[in-house]
Amino acid sequence: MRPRKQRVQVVDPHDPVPLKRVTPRRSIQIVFWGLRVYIALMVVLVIIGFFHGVR
Amino acid sequence: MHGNHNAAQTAVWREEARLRTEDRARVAALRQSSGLPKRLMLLLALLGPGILVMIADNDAGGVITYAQTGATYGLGFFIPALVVGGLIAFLVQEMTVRLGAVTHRGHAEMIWGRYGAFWGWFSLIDLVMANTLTLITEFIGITVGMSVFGVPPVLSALGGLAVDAAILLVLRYRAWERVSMWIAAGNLVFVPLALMAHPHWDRVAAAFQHWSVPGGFTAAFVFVVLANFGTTIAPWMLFFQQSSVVDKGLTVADVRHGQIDTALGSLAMVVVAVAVVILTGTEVFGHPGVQHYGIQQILTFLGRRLGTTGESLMALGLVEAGTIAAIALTASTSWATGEAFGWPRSINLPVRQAWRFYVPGLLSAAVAAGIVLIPQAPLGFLNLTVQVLASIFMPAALLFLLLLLNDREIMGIHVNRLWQNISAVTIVGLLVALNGAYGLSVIFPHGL
Repeated sequence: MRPRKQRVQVVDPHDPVPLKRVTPRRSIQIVFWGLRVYIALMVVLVIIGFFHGVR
Repeated sequence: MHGNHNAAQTAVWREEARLRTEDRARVAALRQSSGLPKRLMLLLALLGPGILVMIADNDAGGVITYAQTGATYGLGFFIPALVVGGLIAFLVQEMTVRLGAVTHRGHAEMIWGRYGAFWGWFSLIDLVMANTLTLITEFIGITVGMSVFGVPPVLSALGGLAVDAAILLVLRYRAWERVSMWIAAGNLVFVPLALMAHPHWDRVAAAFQHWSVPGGFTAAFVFVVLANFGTTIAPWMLFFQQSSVVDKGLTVADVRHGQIDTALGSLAMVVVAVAVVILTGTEVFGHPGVQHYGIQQILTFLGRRLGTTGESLMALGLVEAGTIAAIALTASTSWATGEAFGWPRSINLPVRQAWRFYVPGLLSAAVAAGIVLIPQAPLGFLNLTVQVLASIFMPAALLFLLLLLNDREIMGIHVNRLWQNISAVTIVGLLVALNGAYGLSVIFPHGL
């Protein structure tokens, strides 16, 4: 019996990888929220530093 | 947000793919050839994103920061610190090469697609704001540098904007990259300038042994450390190099060359940065009042010490640094915006077919050029603040990079190894610690 012909999938090496949305683990989400708070705090401190004339 | 692909968009993408295929055919032919000359030509063909991002990192703001650092602190702590900064920059940027070569997607696109619109908007707004602020310092450098030759700020700002726009709009990717690299080569002008200062090389060598800090760990010192790290590693670099790798069409077969490209760029960046510190650390440091010198005073001082040639070379270096960074930042903004909104996004595309891709970057450059022309703007402190803000946003940008490089579903066998994760986490920790120290120095300015 002759083997069935198989389709050969040619993959272009420049094809972008498929992207699916993922939900970060809870620990990562906590880190991100902490990062937001940290950035907001640092921006406020930079503004304070600007008006105090740190340099 | 990533919209429907209509027939016109499909035609545009096909044209983009055709142009990139021509470039890739050239690389493929070189890869199949043997012999040292052909291997060198292959390397030269694949160089670009890494060298450009690192040289553009020695932007006008960076040169000004390094010049002020050398003038204030001399030949000490900051010379070995800049070498460490270059190593850190290589470790971070190498990850963007792998990410771009494996996924063929830009950084903004990856964040948006993988983590959703909220983080996508967060990253995009951060990047566009930071890029626009940084572009201000580039046009500061261009106008200050050209003022040495008597060119009015209006003309030099408009001229810089015109060069930036022309290179981006007229040239296709390969030519854009090659022209930009020729402009980037001008960054090396600071090396002969440092030699003209006849530095005491024994003191330069001693800096690596003692890491001395004149005046001790003051609030101002912490601020300058943060500014130096802020100019060495910036979020726009992650977005720029990854998008550039994608637009250039690099694949997993090119990762090794991409790493070499990044390493060469890091080396050039460190050599130039150290040269600027050595220049002002030798010629300007120790004179009364130098801690308050802005770049104009430093230029004038160098003119008195090194003559017209020295002052002119320094000014030209400043103009070059501003120009190459403006080119990179403009492209970075355009790529990120195109990735975020799903527009055709390639420097290979003609303006008529992809005007939406070009507008965001050029608009940010035009806004920055306009702000620089505002009278009495506090340019010196604005420069340092821009660098500090960039280092504040950097931990978030690195976190996304780490998450993506450890995502086996998209990276496959090219995920980060343990030592790379340890390095990246250490870098994030270092930046967070420096920012925290700066915050304390603001709250307790007399108590460090």
